[in-house]
Amino acid sequence: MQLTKYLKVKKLAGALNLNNSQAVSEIFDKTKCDFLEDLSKKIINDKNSKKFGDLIAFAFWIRKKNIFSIKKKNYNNEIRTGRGLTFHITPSNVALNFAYSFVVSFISGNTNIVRVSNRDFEQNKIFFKILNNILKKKKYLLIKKSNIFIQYKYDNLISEKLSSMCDNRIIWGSDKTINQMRKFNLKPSCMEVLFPDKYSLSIINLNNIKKTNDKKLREIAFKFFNDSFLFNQNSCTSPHLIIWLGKSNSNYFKFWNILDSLASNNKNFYLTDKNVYDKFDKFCQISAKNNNVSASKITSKLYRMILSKLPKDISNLRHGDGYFFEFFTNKLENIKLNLNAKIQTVTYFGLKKIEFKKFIRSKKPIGINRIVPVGRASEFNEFWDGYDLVRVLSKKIELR
Amino acid sequence: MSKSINKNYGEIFQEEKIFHLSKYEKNIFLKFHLNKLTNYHKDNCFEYKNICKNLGYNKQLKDVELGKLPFIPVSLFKNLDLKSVKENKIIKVMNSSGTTNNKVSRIFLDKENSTNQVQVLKRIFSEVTKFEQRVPMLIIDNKERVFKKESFSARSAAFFGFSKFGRDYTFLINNKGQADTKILKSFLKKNINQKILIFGFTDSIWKDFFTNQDVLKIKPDLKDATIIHGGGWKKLEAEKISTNKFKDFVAKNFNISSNKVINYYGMIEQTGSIFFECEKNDYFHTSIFSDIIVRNKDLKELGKNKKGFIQLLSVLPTSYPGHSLLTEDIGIVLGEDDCNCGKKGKYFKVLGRVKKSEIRGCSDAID
Repeated sequence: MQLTKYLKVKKLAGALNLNNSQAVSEIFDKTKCDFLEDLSKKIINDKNSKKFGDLIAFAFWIRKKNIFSIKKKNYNNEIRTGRGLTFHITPSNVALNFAYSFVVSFISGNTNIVRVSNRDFEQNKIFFKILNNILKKKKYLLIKKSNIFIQYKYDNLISEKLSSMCDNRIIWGSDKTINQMRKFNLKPSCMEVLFPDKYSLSIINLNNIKKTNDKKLREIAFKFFNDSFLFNQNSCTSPHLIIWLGKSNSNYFKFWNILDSLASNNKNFYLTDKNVYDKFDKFCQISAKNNNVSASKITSKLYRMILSKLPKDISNLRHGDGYFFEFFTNKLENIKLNLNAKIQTVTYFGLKKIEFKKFIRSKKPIGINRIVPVGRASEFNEFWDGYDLVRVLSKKIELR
Repeated sequence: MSKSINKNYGEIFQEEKIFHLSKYEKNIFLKFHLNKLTNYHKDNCFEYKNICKNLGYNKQLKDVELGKLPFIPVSLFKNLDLKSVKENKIIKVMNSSGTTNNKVSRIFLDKENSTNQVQVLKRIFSEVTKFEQRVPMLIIDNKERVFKKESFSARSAAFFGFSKFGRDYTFLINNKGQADTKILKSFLKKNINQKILIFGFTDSIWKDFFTNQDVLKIKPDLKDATIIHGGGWKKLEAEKISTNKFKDFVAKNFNISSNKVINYYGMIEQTGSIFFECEKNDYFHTSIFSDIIVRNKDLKELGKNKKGFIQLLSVLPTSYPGHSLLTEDIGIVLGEDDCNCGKKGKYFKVLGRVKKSEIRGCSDAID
């Protein structure tokens, strides 16, 4: 039975024979890894790909070398197989997120239906052109018949149908989408992986910043910039709040100057008239009501507000488009944050992993999913939002 | 909260002329009053004070240039109740139609502010129309919609504002939402050879009057009419109807000279200090009570002939901090003091509203 025959969806690549359970494999199946290696090479060598950093980064991530190191590091000697068919509902606003979602389920041994955003992303077009070419190869016939990438205008009937037949369902935000999709029945055995709306922040040790030389400071600022300005600071991994440990010093001001000039000179950071207006509007709205803002600064691209107190709910402290909240305290232990809040990523600089280990053990921050160094906020890997994705999307057959 | 801004503040609106001050004189006049107003609102509106503080205006303002005065976004009135007078002084709350997620602006007026609005509107209106007394008024709208009790909308505000210049109010649109030609015929017959005023929102006056098939069949002779319309071109733009096309069509079909078809620009947040097109060009003119500054994307002041956000200044708002507002409109200042219509002050065009943009980010899969 062919999926596209009875549902009104547009096929971008692949096909899906729903009776094709032989396509479910062990995790890190050899043919699948070969296929990813092939895909990676073709993307890297394609002259159109070069313009798109995100496409190249993806290609590097799926190289055999990387996939093997993931396997070796975390899943070696484990006999696991896919759970069956995964249905992916991927974000409308981020190109290529669907591809990561696909790969992680694919190497976990599953067959896949991937709903791709209806927006025309140039890098997606390049991706599908290359993918379709590779899928023509005879040795990948089974892969072609068991994975499909589709687009459809949001439609309850289609979503309901696809939800009813999958064994894993992955939904990439928002809260609204998740609530909407939850109205549909899943198979009783279906596994759900959900990525609801999340908030991200940074913790930076000013005592280290103080000792940093100019070159290193530039490097940190650049990394921080890349973390923050992915999708105009609207990515779930972009920090909105910076918690500074220690006192401000001359390097602190330098840091902001560097960031400001990076924001001013980066072509990818573009604000429309409406963005500019809304940002100013948000600034005035917060200012009007909040007495906890002790200082604020508006430069041509960045808005900053220093808070004298952290509110209970920090999730409102966000706007995007180059808008930061700052809070000063002295030690990691003294951060009085609602740790049950929906925090996804904490990026840090000037702190040791061991300090966070202590922090996690003593505070049990159930709302935090990732703690990674500044510069690595958007680095996707097999652990995401608190899930060990390969293990969640596959099953272990017990054998005694 | 302190007392009224100044016991005799209303006197500034008694100026004999309102389009006569040169750039230099007007600047002195506005600078004095707008500095004073900013301080007054800071002292009397807690939220406004907080905003000013975060914008870097901690101290009392003195002699701050117009371009350096604080401004707030006009949409703020949709999210906050901003007022600079005690609750019991408020006699009227005006609501604008909402465009941003259907929220409406709430503008709080006390008696003084309300009186001054009417006063200034009157002055500007009679200067433009040259009406010496009230004239019969045809309104291209439905009476019930305008008089709707529940809310004082932009529709009602515009009608009540302009109604001060009319009499024998006749509403053209019946309850079925259609132009009633019987009403039209009898109105015109009754007022033959008399000056009349026709008023409506730009899109309704176009759709329900000028291009209405029944009206076109009658082809009323409007040689004695003055047509005032406003509210924006958004809907007509979509149909590719430009100002010139609009004027030409009306002039050709209704025997009215195009300088009697007058567009206005104004917003409920600054009712009273309204801008009319001049008779020579389709430029909006600032009176001595208001001014315009165009700003770029860094919100820095731009000179003439440059496109940007429109900031409007007005000496009218005293009961709410609306004297300096950043609008969501994009416009261009074309000159100052030298329009060939003879009016002093800045003149400008409105090019449209900032466009809604796509949200970028990794969520919201439903699209």
